[in-house]
Amino acid sequence: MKTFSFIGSDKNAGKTTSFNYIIDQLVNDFSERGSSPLLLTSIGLNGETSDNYEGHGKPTIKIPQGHYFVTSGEHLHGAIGSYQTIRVFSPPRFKKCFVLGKALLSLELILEGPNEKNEIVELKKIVSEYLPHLTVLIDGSIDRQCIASPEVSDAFYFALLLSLRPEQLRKANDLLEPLFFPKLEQHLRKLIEHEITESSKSLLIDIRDKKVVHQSTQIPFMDDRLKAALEDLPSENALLYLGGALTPSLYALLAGYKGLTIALDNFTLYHNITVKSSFDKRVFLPKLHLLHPMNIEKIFIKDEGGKLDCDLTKLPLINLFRQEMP
Amino acid sequence: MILQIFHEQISPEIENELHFNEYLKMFSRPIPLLPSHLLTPLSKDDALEHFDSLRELVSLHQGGKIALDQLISQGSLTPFLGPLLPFFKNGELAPYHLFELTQFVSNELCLLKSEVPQSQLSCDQKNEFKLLLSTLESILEKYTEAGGAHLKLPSTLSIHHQTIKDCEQAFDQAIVHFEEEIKRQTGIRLIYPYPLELKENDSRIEAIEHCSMLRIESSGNLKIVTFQLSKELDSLRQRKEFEQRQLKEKAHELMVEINSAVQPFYAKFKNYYQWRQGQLFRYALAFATIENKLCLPILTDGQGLSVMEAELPALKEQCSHNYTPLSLELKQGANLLYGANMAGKTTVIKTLYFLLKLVSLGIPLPASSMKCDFPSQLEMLLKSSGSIAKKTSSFGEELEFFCKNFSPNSYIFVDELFQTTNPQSGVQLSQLVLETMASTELTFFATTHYLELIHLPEVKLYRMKEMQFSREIDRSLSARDLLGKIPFIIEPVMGDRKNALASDQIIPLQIAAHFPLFYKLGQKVQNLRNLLIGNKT
Repeated sequence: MKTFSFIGSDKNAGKTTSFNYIIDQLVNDFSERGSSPLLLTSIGLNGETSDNYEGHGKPTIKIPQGHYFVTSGEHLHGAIGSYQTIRVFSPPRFKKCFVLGKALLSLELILEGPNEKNEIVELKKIVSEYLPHLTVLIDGSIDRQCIASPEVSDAFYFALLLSLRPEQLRKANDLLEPLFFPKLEQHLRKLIEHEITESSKSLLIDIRDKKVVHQSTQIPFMDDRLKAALEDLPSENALLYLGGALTPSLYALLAGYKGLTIALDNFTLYHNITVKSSFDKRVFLPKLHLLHPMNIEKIFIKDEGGKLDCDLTKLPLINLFRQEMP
Repeated sequence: MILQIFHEQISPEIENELHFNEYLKMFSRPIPLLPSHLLTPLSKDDALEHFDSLRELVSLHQGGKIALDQLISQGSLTPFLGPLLPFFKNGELAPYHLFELTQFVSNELCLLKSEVPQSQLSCDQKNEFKLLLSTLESILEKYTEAGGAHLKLPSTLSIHHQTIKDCEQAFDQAIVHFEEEIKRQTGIRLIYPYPLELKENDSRIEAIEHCSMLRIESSGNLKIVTFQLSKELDSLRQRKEFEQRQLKEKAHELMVEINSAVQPFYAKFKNYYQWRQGQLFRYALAFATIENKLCLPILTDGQGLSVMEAELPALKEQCSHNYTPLSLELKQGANLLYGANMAGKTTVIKTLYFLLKLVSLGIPLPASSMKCDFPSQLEMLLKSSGSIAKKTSSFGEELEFFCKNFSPNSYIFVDELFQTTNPQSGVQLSQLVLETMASTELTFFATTHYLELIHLPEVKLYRMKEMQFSREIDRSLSARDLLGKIPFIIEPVMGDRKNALASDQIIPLQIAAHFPLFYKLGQKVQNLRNLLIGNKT
C-alpha cells in the first residue's frame, strides 16, 4: 500500500483539481496496465461543493467506478444504490462511523476520513488486511500535523497558488522552504529515532558524547528546563529535536543560538512560521533540518502572476492550466 | 470490554490505596459489542441473581457443557451497533447500516447455536431470539446481496444503473475523439475537463477562435481555452445526470420500503442487543473467575461475614512471596481487633472493604471462598490527620462519621477507633460505640490499641498473631525485614482475654528497639525493653 497526501497552500490553490487529475491518471494506469486500485479519503472534511469564503462552486471529488473510498456514513445518503460496503469503522475505536466502500458507479462524494493519527494508522492497517494492494490518496491539509508522519503518508502532492498578493506569495514561498533544508546526517537521525516516543515534544542531545541532556513532553516554549539546558550546552554541540510546532515565540527564543542544529519532526511544524507575517527570518541563526524529509511527487502550480523567490527548476512542477498534457 | 467504576463509588484516596482499577483489568477483553461497562452498585436481589448466574456458567463450563472462551471469541465477532440503533428506531437505516446489521444477525445466529439453556437463556427465550434474528435475516437477504454489502436492485433500478454506466462509457469514448479532433483542428492538446491558459500572442489562437469545439476568453494578459461540448456529448452528460437523479429517487424509495420492513422489529432487537451485551459480560466474568481462580460470594442474611484466603492484590504485589491471605469470620454486632503496631490491622480492614465493594458491584473475588450478608451499605474510616479544606480535625471527622445513618446488614469499619482524642475520652467513646453497635443488625469492625476495651463482654474480640522476637536485638534487621516477620494472621480471642493479650504489650518496644533511633533515645528504648522482658520472664 502506498499513500500520497495532497496539501494546498491556500483554500483556492487547486488542490481538489489536482486531486481529481491524479485520480484520472491513476485510473488510466489501472485500466491499461493493471496497477493498484485506488482508495480515496481525506483527513477531516474536504470536498464541499462550494467555497466557504467566496461562495462559488468548488470541484467535488470524483470516485471512479470500481475504486474505493473511506468517508463518514452521513455523506453517503445521496449515493444509495451506487456503492458497496466493504467494512464499517465505528466507535469507540473511531470517533465517528467511517465506511470503506467500493463505487459501483462513479460517484461525487464529500470525503471525510479520520482526523487523528492513531485512527488513520489503525484504519490503514485494517484496510490493508482486506485490500493489500492499494494506492491511497488522501485529501489533506497543512495544519493537520499527522499528515507528515511516515505512518500516514509516503509522499506528497502540493497545490501552490501564486497570486499577486504579497502575503499570499510569502506564504507560498515559506511552504516550500523546508524542501531546501539540508538533510540531517544519518547518525544524528538514528540518535533521535532511538530516543523519541509518540509524545516527545523536545529532545536535546550533546552531539559530542551522544548523551541525552533533556527530554520532555512539555510544550518547548514553556519548558524552563529545556531553556536552562540550552544555555548550558554549547550550541555547536547541541542537537534539538522538536516534535511540536515551531511557533513564532519558540522561533524567536531559539533565533540567537548560532550553530544549534534543530531537527523538526516534519515540515508541517514549520507551518506556523509561514502564516505569521511579522517575521524577519534573516536573524535566525540555528540550522534547521527535518527528521522526516518532504518527499514530493509533484507540485501543481496555479499561476495568477506571482513569482517565487526560490529556484523551482529542479522541482517536479506542473501547471494543469498551462501545460499541454502528453 | 473495559470495566469502570462509577466515580462516585470510590474516592480518589481509596482508589490510590486499594487499586480497584488495576484489579478490574483482569476482566478486560476485546469484545467490540461491549466496549466498556460501568459498574454501579447492585440491589440485593440483582446481586443474588447475578452471582447465581455466574455460578451456573462456571459449573456448565467445568462440566464441559459449554466452552466460555469459545463463546466469548464468537461473541467478539459481533459488531458494535451503538451508533446504528437510533437510525433503526427512526426507520432511517442507510445501506451501510444494513451491512452491519447483516453481520450482526449472522454472527448472533451462530452464537445462539452454541449456547445451552440456563437461567439467563431459557429454551423459550432462545427460540424467541432465533425467530427474531431469522426474520431479520430473511428481510436482509430479500433486499441485499453479498452479506449485506450492497442493495439488491430491482429491475426498475438496475436499468438506471446500466444506463448510467452506458452513458459514462459512451461519453469517455466520445470525449477521446473530441480531444483528438481539437488537436487536429487547432494543434493544442487538451484533456477534458481541464482548461488551458495561453499567452495572448500564442500562434494557435486564431485556429482556436475558429474551432466550434472550444471557447476562448480573456483573463488579464492570458487567454483561457475551455471545452465547448458538442450536442452529442452534452446530451450524454445530461442523460447521465437525469438517470442519476432517477436512481437516487428510486433508491431512496427502496430504502423507505426496507426501513418499513425492518423498523417494527426495533423494540425486540434492542431488547436482544442489551441481553447479548449482558450475556457476554457474564461470560467474561465467569471465565475470568475460572482462569484466575477467583471466587463467587454466597450471599446470606443476617450471618455476618466469613472469608477464606482473601487477598488484597495491591498489597500482594508489593509483598510477593511474603504475603499471607486473610481468613476471618465476623458476626453481626460489634467486632474488635486488638493488635500491636505493624501487625496488619489496617490491612485487614482494607482487605474486607475491598472484597465487599467488589461484592456490591457484582465482581468475582480474589479469595478461595466468601459468605456474607449483601453489603447494602459499606463505610470505612481510616486514620487521617483531618482536612484543612473541610475545616475538620481528625476527631471532627470521626464524629461526623458516626453521624451517618447505618442501615441493617451494612458493614462499618473503623481503624484505630477514637485514637483521635485523648486516651481517657477515647476509651469512653469507643466503649459507647461498641455497646451501641453490639445490639444492631449490622457488622461493625474496628481496630484498637486501647486495652480497656478488651473486657467488654458484648464485643467479639480478635487479635493479630504476634511477631516473634529473639532475646537479643538483631541489628541487621531493617524495617522492611521486620515487616517480613509479621505473620499477618488474625485469630479470635477466647477465654482469658487479658492473659491472651499480655505479650502484645511490649511488641511496640520490641519493634522500636530495632530502629536506629537518634542519640540516647535508642539506648533508653532498649533498656526499657530489656527490663520488661526480664519482668515478663
